[in-house]
Amino acid sequence: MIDEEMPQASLSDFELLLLLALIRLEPEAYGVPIAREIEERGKRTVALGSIYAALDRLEKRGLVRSELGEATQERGGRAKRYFHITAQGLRATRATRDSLIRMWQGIPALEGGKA
Amino acid sequence: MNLLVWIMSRFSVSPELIGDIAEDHAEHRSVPRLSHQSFVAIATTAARGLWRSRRLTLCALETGWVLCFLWSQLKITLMPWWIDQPYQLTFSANLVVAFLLGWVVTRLQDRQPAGAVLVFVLPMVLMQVARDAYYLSSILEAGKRGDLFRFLEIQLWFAWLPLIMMLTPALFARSQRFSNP
Repeated sequence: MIDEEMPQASLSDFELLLLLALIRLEPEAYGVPIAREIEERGKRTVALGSIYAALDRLEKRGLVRSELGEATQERGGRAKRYFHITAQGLRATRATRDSLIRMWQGIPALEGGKA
Repeated sequence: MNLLVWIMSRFSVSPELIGDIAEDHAEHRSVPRLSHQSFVAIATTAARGLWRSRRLTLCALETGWVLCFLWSQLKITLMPWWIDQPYQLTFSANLVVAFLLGWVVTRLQDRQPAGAVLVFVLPMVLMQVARDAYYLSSILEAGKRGDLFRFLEIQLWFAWLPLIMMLTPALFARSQRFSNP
């Protein structure tokens, strides 16, 4: 049965990581800290170009909004782009978490800490 | 870093993303990391720019390839006359036409001109690499090492230089708008 609150298109694992990083870093979420957060907590290397491409997609879907921030000298005088999760993005994150938990439950092979 | 920034701006990578890459480089000071970040930024920006305006991209590529085909047919049609012309004239004509072909592609796909020219030239580069590899292996198999440098010289001037000329307009073209958010 399909949940009525299910988002129109589910989030990929990378999109989910990005949205979780945005929530953690709010209100200081721009490219470099987002990449650092995913590298440190997600244990995967990620290119800034991939982050911008994915955030661009999420912004088009209304899950994220962005605004220009201040410029710094170490950035060659270029502005930062801060990303914020929207209410729709929060709903999509929760829905993805719930569906992952439902899929996880009742699988004996995945219970316990050893393979 | 300055060269990479310039190349990225040619491919319409957004200033914010370039700024993030500069900040990341200031923190890590790693050339392989900087190269990887820049390459991914260029590839993702160019791919998205070309895909977003895919009708322009298709139109630009088709026009470029058709004009390229017509130029090669024209040379075959005029072959006896063409061969009789001074080498400097035919050589220069090839370079000018190659530049114009690249220029036409950049004008038709003005939202991601550098990416469009790169995609336009890529099949020709691959064909040229395959052709060179075949002839080089033939020369080496025949043991005619004396012909090797002559072959490389001819290929450089008559095959690779026109391809480089096709790419040149991308260095001057500016995108009408940035593709990144």
